[in-house]
Amino acid sequence: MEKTGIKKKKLRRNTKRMRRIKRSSGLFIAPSFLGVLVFFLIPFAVVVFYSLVDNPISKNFVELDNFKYILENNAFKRAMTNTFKFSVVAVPLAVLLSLLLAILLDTKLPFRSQFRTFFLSPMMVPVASIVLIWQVLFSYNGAVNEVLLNFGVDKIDWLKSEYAQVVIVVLFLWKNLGYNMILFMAALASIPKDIIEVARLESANSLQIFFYIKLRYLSSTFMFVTIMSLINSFKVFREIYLLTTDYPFETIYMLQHFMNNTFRNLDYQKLSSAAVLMSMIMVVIIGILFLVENYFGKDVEG
Amino acid sequence: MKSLWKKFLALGLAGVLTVSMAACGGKDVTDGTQGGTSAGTQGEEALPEYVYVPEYHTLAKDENGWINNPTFVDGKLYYSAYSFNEETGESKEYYAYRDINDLDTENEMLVEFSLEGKETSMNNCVMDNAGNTYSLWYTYPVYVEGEEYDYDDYSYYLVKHDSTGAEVFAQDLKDVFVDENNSYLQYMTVTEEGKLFASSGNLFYVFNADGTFDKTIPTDADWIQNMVVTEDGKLLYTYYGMQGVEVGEIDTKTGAKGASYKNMPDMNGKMKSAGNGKLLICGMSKLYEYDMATQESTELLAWLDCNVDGSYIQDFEVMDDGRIVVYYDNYSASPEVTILTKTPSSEVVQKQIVTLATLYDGDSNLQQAAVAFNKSSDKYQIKMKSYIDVNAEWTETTYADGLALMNADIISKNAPDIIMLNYTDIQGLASKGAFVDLTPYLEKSTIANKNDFVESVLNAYNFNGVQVTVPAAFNINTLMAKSKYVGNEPGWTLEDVMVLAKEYPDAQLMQYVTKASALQMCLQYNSNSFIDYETGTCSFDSPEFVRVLEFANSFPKEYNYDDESSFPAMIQSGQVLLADVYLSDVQNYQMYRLMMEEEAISIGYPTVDGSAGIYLNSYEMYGIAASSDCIDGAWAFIESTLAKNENNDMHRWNFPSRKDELEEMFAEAMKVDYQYDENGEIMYDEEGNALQWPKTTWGYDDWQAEIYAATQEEIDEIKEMIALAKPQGNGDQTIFTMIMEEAESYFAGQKSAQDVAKVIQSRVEIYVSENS
Repeated sequence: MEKTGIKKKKLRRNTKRMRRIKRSSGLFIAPSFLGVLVFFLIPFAVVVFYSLVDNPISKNFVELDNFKYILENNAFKRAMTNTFKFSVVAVPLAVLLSLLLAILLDTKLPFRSQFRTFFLSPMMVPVASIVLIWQVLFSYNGAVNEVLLNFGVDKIDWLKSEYAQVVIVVLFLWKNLGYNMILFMAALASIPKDIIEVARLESANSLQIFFYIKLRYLSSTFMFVTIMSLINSFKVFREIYLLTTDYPFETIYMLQHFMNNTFRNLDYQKLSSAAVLMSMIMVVIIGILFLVENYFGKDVEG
Repeated sequence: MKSLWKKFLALGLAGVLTVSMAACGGKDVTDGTQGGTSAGTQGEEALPEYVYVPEYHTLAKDENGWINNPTFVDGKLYYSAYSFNEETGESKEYYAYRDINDLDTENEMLVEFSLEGKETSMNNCVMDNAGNTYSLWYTYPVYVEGEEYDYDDYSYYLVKHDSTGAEVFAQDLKDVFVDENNSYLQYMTVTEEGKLFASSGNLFYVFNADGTFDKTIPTDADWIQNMVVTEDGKLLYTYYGMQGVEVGEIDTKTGAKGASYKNMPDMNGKMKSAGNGKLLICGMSKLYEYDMATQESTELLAWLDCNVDGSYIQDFEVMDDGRIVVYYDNYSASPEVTILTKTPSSEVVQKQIVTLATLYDGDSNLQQAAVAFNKSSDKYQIKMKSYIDVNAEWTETTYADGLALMNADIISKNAPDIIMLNYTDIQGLASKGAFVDLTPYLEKSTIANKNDFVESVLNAYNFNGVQVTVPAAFNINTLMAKSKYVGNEPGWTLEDVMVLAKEYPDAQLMQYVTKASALQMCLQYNSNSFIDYETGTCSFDSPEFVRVLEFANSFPKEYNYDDESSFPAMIQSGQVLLADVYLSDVQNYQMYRLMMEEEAISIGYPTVDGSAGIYLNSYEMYGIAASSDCIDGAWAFIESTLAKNENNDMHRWNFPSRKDELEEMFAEAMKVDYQYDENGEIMYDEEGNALQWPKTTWGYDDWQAEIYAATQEEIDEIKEMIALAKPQGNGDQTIFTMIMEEAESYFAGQKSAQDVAKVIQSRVEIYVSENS
C-alpha cells in the first residue's frame, strides 16, 4: 500500500514537472512555430486553396481541374521531364564526384589545402559573375567554340541546342562539388579511427574498409548531401534564367521557369497546382531517401 | 519506429518548405497592395483634420485673345494679354491685373511702348514691390507692300514704367546680344535693388536699375526654365540636369554662382520661395515643400483632392491668410483661378471615394477627366493611385515594376475601383475575370450608350462576351501604297509582299527598311498565323517561316540615311513602294493621299490569311475592377469620360470613339471653305469650279500640300479602315521579342535560317504551351 502511495506521489510530481516542462518548452518554441505558421504553413494553405479555385478573384471551387489542366499542359510536362532528367543526372554526379574528391583529399596528397580551396572557390563567386563566366565560355561566339574551331569542329550553340543541359550540369557540378566535398571530408574525419584500425588488424583491405565501415558511417552525410543537392538542382533555375531569360531552349526549361512565368502572367491556379504537385513529388523522393538512409545507417545509429 | 515517425514529420515539413517557394511569390502580391486605397477601405480611414475647399473663378476673355505670363504677386494676378476684335480687325496688347478678391474686374495698366516705323510686341513683363513695371519688347519693321523687308532690323527694348504708367526708360538691347543663340529673352525677374535678371537659353543677362546692361552670367543649364528670387537675395533657377529637374543658385548682389539643388520632386516648372530656406514646388499632381538644406521634399497636397488639374497650372501663390491661389489654363477652355481655403474636414460634406489605378497620375488627359468628374459629382470623388513614383530615381525596371505591381493589385482583392488600361495586357487580365462587364451599364446609359460607339472599336475590347472597356479615342496604323502596285482591295499576304519586292527589285519596299524592320512588318499581324493556341503548338520551323526569315534577310542590315532624298519624293518617284502611316484625323489621311500623287489604297500590313492588317491604338481606356466595392461610382466616372464632349477639348490628336463625334469630325473635314467676293458671292475659276480656301497646310520633309475639304470617298475609306482595325495583343510582343532575338544571329550570318527557325520554334512553343 505504502509503495503504491509513493509511486502515486512520484507519478503526480512527475506529471506536474512534465507539464511545467511542456509549458515552458511550448513557450520557447512559440516564436519559431509562429514564424513557421506565418511564413510556411499559412502560405502553404493559400497555395493549396489557389490550386482548387478557378481564379483568385471569383474563387469558384473547381475540384482538381487545375491539376488535370497542368498535367495535360505541354509546358508543364516538358518542365517536369527536364527537371527530372537534370536531377537524375546531376544529383548522383554531385554526390559521387564530391565523395571521390573527399576521399582523394583525405589521403596524404601534396597541396591538399590548395586543392580544397580551389574546389570551394566557386561558392564564393556571385551568381552574376558565374553567369558571365559561362556566357564568355559557352555563347555562340564564346571561348569554347573558338577553341573547337581550331580543331576544325563547327560552332555549337551550346545554350540553344541539345547540349544546353550538359552545360548546365557542368555548371551545377562546378558550383556545388566543393561544398559537398567539405561535408564528406568532415564526415570521413569523424569516423572512429579505432574501428578502422581493428579492421586493418583483421586484414581488411581498403575497399572492404570503405564499403563495410566508412560508407555506413557516411550514410547520414550521404542523406544530407543528396537532399541538399536535390534542393540545389531545383535552384539551378537562377543560373539558367540569367543565362537564357524566361523562355530558354526547350531542354533547359525547368519547373521553376514554369512557375516563374505563370506567376508573372498572374496564373496563380497553374502556379499553385504545379507547386502542390512538386511538393508531393519532393515528399515522396525525400521519404524514399529516409527509408534508404534508415536501412543503411541503422547499425551505426543503433 | 519512433525515430522513423520523427523523420516522417521532418519529411512533411520539408514538403511544406518546398511549396512555400511558390507561396513566397504570392506574398509579393499582398505586399504590393499595402498602400492600396479601395473605396471600401477608404471610407473607413480617418479623415484628415483639414481639407482645401476650392472656389472656382473663370476668367472671361475674348475668343481670340489670350493671357500670357500670369504671375501672382501679393494677392493680385498680373498678366500680359492680347485681344483681337474680329469685326473691327483691331488687336490690342496690354498688361493688366485682377485682385484675388475681385477676379471679375480686369485692371488694365499703362504699359505701352511704341517706336516710329516699327511694330512692337511685348515679350515679358514683371513688377517690383514699388509698382514699377519692367517690360521686354520685341520690335521689327512694319511691312510695306512693294518695299524690301529687312529681316535683320529687329531689336529688343527693356522699358520701365512707374506706377502711374509713365515711361522711365527704354533701353535698346540690340548691342547686348553678341551671341545669336542667346538672343531671345524668355524669363525675367527683378530684385529688391531693382536689378533685372533676364534669361535666354543658358545665359542670364543682368541689367542695372537704370536699365543699362551690366553683364551676362553663364550657367551649367541647357535651358533655364524658371526663376525666383528668395528673401535673402538668391536667384534660384530651374533647368533639366542629369538627374531630372535641378535648381541652380546665383547671388544677385555679386553674380556668383552658388550651390545646385537636386532630388527635386516631379514639377511642372513653377516654384515659389516659401522663406526659411524652403521652396514651394508645383508638381504635375501634387504641391510640395522642398527643403534646400536637406534637399528633401514633403507633399503638401494632391491637386486632384482640391479638384485642380495640376498638369496645366501656370502659376500659384500661398497667400498670407493661408489660402492657396492657382491659375490654370489648358489653352482650350477659358482660364480659371481657383482659390483653395483650408477648412476643417468636419465642415465639408464627404463624398464616396472611388480609387483610380494608373501608372502615372500626372497624365494630363486623366487629370482633366478626373477633375471634371469631381467637380460635377456630388456623390463620388476620384482619388488616384499611381504605381510609378515619379519622385524616385527612374531605372530600367521602373516601368515594368510599376506595371507588375498594378497587375498584382488587379488580380488580388486589393485592386482599386477603376483601372486605367492604356498600358496593361487587357485581354490577359480579362481572361482571369479581373474586370466588370460594362455591357449592362452601356445598355442602360443615356449618355454613353452601347449604340453611341463605333462598333469595331467597341468589339475590339469585348472578350468572351465581357465588355472590358470602351476607349474614348483611337488612331490607326496601316500601310499605304499606290493602287498600281497593290490593287484596289485592302489586305494581302506575305507572299504578295515578296512578289511585289521581286517585281520592283530597284525600289525599296518601305523607307528606312532594314532586315529587322522587314521581319517586324511581316510579323506585325502574322505571328499568330504560325501559332495554334488551341493545341499549344506552333510552326516556326516550317518552310513558310523560313521563307519569311529569308525575305527579311534580303534587306540591308542598317539603313544609310545620308544619300537619302525626302520621303515624299521617293514615294512619288517609285523609289519607295509602301508608306507606313499613322492616322489620327482626316486631314492626316488626305495628306498621304496627296503625297502619293496617284490612286492609292490603305492595303494594311500583310497577313497570312490575306486580310488587311490595320492596327487600332486606343487611348483613355478605363475598366472597373471585379473586386470593386463601388462599381456604380466607377461607372459614373467612366460614363463621364465617354459622354459626348461638347467642348471638343479632349482627344484632340485622335479619332473619337463616339459615332456622333466622329461624324462631326468627318462633317467638319468635308465642310468646304469657299472664297467669297466683295458681294458675298462664292467665287469660281475659269472652268466654273467654286474656289475654296485650304483648310490647312501639311508638310512632310521638303514637301508641302494644301488640304481642302475631304471628299465622301476619302471619308468612306477612313471608315473602312476603322471597321477593319484590330488591336494588337500584348502577348504577341513576347513572341515577337523572342523571334527578333534569334533572328539576329541569322541576319549576322552566323547561323542558317533553318537553325534559327528551330530555336525560335523551341522557345516560342514553350510560351504558347504555357499560355494555351
